[in-house]
Amino acid sequence: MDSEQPEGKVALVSGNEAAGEAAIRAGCRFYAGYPITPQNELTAYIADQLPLRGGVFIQAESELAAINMVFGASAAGTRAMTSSSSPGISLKQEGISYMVGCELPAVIINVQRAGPGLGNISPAQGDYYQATRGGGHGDYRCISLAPFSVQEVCDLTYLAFDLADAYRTPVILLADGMIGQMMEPVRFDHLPAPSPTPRPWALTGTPGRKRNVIKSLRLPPEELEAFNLKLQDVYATIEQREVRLEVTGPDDAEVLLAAYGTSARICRQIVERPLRQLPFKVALFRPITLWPFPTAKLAELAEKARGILVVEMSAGQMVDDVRMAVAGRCPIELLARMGGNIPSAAEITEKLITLFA
Amino acid sequence: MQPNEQAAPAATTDQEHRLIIAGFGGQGVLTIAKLLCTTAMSEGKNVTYLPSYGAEVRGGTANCQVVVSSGVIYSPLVEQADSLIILNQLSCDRFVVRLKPGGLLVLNSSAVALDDASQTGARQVLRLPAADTAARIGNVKVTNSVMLGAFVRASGLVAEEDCLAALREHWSRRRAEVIDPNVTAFRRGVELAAEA
Repeated sequence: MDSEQPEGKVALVSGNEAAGEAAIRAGCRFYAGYPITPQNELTAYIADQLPLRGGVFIQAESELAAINMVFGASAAGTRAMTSSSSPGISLKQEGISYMVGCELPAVIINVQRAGPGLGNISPAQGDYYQATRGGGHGDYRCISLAPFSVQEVCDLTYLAFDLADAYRTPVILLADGMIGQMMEPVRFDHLPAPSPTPRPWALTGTPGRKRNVIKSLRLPPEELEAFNLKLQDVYATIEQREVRLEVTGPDDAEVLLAAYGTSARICRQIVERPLRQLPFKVALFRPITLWPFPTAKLAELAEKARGILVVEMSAGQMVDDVRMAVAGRCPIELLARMGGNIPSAAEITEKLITLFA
Repeated sequence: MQPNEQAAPAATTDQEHRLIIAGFGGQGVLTIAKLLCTTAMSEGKNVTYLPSYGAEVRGGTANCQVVVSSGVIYSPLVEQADSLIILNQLSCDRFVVRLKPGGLLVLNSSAVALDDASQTGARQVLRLPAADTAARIGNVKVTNSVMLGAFVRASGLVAEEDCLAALREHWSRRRAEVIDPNVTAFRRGVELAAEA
């Protein structure tokens, strides 16, 4: 991708590059990262561009160093980001937990690959639990955003910085190898100039004000519990205000597909342009925020559905949130592919017919 | 929100073309894909470009799944291809089964043998001595441009002049020694397809 995108022009860009460009346009001025496939183009794009556009890029010595550099940059009041892929995101969990403990905003991009362990470099969705249940130690959640196109990578990366600021929390963008590597036409010119919220809490030196302290150590149990309750209040607000989802297909669909990210992209094919005629109507329920999960909307849809097929590139993780939301209103089935395999439109179609025809 | 919104929303009349381009790393597989995508975009179409990634090195295998559509593209995966552009034997063996009946098969016959093409059910099998042609032009590296020119002529997916413009733009920062053979190779590919 060429250095600057001309305004108003559509560019052919990969998901990884789109995340880098959107972050810079969102006012990210600090990035630290350590290479790992399939997200290296993101790090490379930021390395090329951020120093030219008023920011600091550091290739850290490790993922731990990178997340702790982001911790420091955020504490100093800078919009900061790191990115990695699954094994690298595991390494960053301690730092993310500490940032939550310090109420620090940051954006963390996970371009998922298949696991466990080193696994392989193919697209997967096995980090859903990690992204939506906190991920590190302690009692917390992170807002988790799941793009299913390169344009959405751009738009949600930009949004992630605003959400991180608004709630003083790390925000996870959960992509995968396909979304990161795929190129599509993307525009950036609709993104407004960044508007970071004031940061009176930041460590900026103390001219004429009381000293700021940023720490996550709260020894008295009463003090920590008060902080825990404060976090829970923030989370309740997030659950109220920040749920994002998309439902596509006929209003009177009998069967629902439920999927996010890459698997939603494949499911969308079946809803919009089926490989073969299905003897029932199908719609797609696609969470864009994985946490907060669109529980209320799914419960409403489940009332009139014959059944739901959850399609995931994991052994089945989001399906737990679906079960909790649906609470027995209709049967829930699962199509799970693992190991870096993307479910094909053909196999999803077969499964739908077997289950619901 | 649509996955890509450059063109009008999906209609049943959308023209969608799904293709796979495959060969050795270093043969210019991804460049063919990217040029087809930028050309189609310049004509107002939607595209997706999904490369194999990571473990590929020069001499290893490389492939790219491309979808071009007048409407919105949902799955970027090419399970069944309208066209295959194949630059080496390994890729031929692997991908030929993915060609739709009635599809277009473009082979670099300098490196690929396919004895019984009738089994593929292809509408047209274009066997181009692309690497030999490129060598005669003076640079075997432009094999991919021969293949691209031939594919564009045989498929009619994008306009030849638009693709040539995208090719010139792609190499615009290079010297004439790089641009000119690519242009010559593209034109030669068009001729070879026209003669076939």
